[in-house]
Amino acid sequence: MEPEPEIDLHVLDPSRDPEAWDRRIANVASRALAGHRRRERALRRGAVALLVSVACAFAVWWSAPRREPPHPDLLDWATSDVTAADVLGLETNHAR
Amino acid sequence: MVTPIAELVTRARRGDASAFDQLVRRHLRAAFAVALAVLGRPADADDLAQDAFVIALERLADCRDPARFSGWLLQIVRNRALHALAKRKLRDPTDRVGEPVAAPMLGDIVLRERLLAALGELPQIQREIVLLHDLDGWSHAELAGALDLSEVNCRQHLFSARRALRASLAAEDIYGTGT
Repeated sequence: MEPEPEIDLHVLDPSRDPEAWDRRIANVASRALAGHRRRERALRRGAVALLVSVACAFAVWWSAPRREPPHPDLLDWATSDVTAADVLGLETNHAR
Repeated sequence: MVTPIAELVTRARRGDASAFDQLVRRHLRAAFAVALAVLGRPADADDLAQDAFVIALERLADCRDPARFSGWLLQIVRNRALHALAKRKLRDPTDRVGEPVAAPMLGDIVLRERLLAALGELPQIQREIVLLHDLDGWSHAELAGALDLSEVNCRQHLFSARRALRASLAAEDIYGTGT
């Protein structure tokens, strides 16, 4: 395959005016850098906000009053041979 | 010595202003070429390439492989250009890529309009390849890497694109006769 000679596309070249091209490059680079910094700042603030909210949630959980365990008698009754009548102090014929 | 792209991307991620400048300097013309291949209008392509570049650099953290920055950037430019083209076609269904937007004028402007019209007759992939290669000086290896094609495929596309362009321009006696 014989290579086709290059097509002269210089009239489409946006860098034909070097000064304007340099200005364009500087403009794009500075806009991009500003956007990048804005994004970084937002991410940093988001991370700080997340840390603070996690710390607050932990503090609230830590300072909350502890709940007592369920009534021990009731647990005894449920896990041993004690009957309901024993727990209530009833002496019935049926219980005996 | 030319700094590798991956290093520039890494530095830019850390907020290095000179890395941003070098990335733009090396890739803005390629971004323009891809936008022009899709949109067919230099002014629209210029605006879109700049905006897409800014967005891409703001989201540099999303570029998973810094060594493949070129392909990643051109994909962003292409997607945004296709979106802009779809919007343009919604506004004007008769709109065609590469259609001259002004009446014929003298010198470079006539040549530019004819080139744009001839480019508009090519498939999009051939427009991208011929613009990146002949306008921005990309090698076949670079084209293959950025466009996810084989080098042989790139050569074939470039060959076909140049031949079609030459034939199209020959009718207008611009490049075709005598070459």
